[in-house]
Amino acid sequence: MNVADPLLITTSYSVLVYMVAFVLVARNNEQIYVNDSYRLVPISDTGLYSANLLSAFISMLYLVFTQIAFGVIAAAMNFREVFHAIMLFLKESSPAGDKGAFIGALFGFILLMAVFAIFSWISISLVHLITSALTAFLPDSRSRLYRFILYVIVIAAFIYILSKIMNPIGDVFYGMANENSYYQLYLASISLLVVSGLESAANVYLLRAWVETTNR
Amino acid sequence: MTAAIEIKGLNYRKNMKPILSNVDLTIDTGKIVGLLGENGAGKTTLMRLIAGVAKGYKGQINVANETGIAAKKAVVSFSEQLLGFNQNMKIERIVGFYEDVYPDFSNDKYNQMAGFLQIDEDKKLSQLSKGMREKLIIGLALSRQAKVYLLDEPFAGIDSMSRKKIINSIIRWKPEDATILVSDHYVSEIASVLDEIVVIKDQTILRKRVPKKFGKNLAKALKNIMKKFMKGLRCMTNFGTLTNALTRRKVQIINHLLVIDIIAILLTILYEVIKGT
Repeated sequence: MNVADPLLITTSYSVLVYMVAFVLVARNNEQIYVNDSYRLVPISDTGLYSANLLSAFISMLYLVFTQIAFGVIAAAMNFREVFHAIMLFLKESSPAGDKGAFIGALFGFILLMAVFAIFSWISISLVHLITSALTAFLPDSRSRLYRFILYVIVIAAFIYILSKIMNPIGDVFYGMANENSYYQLYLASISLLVVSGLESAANVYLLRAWVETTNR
Repeated sequence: MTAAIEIKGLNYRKNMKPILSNVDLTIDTGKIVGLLGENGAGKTTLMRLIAGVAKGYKGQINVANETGIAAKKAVVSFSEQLLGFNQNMKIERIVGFYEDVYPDFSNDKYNQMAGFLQIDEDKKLSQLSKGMREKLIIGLALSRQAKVYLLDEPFAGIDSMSRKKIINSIIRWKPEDATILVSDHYVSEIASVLDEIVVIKDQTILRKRVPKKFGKNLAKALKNIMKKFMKGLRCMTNFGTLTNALTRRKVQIINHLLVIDIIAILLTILYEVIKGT
């Protein structure tokens, strides 16, 4: 067995675990919005929405820390070789005199990942809540078929609108590739946060006025 | 006497069908009111509208003079079906959730009711029979110090003995100044404890008073015996405790995933070791 394998194996599984956890947390988020057990809690819809989103973020942070802990344990199995590999990577990634840019880019990347996760959950909620609200206006019969068609239409409309809004962000990434400036990462994060804010306002409105819990 | 529930000009449509039309209803404080009607008449919908979980209605619904969503939820205890919880969750954890998110939830009161209704807290939700589940739902709903209790068909599909226990617990643990709206198909089961009945028919309300022969005096006498359990606590949920409760649920999901992750990592490493040797 290659001595670096434990870390490699742990990291490989990490990617899978992050993806599955993201989906499971998103599913849990959406269940909370349409369930009596949570919607009956005496708190405003804004409060419930914020608490739900915050809990999703905290739970993903928990996952990140556990994965780091797993990585450290795996790395400890062959500390020297891993340490050498990390130092080599750092040396290649940040040429002498450009350490500030490297750290800036690293934090920018972490921030962008976190913001992107929040943005994705919010977007999933928006599609779900719009569909749930509209479903109440459809005829009861063949509701599943209508619901499916509605999901397709809402997702297509969402992607179209999002692409219009996100074009500037695309330009930013293009600029980053050309200018190699890590500031673009922060700009992209801010842009995503602004869009997330707008989507959240729509989500809270839908929760307050239209989206009801699933009746048994 | 002040109104516990006041509904004016309520209209509610869903899936292009009118469910409730021009509903006007006032229920006085301290009453036990039966909400009767056929299947699909709109009993549950009316309760869901009062509880604030059904949306898109026209008209006005006031509960204990509260009109805001959060304020109404704070004064209403609705017997929800516990479908939001993992069915493998132990009852003690569900009770813990209620304790966390409802400031007016009384653990002492719950323990008394759990003893009376013989609810086994070590059991998982999925292990409960229909009757036992209904007892748990009633137990949790009545353990709150709410102003209005909405009990949605608490006797559906359960045996006679359990029905009697549930009826007794409603009488025994009802705060004197609280109002209970209990829905059922038949009046005979709960008639002895009712002050009034409200009938839903043709999407609207027909109201009748219950004759005294149904045992109103007996119900009042029993209610007076148990009037000591009242403590008024204004129910305002703390954002932090809700976030905490929701995070615990998500972390539980992630923990299950982590167990699989660790097993997969260990098995892969073991495989590599065996392959290496």
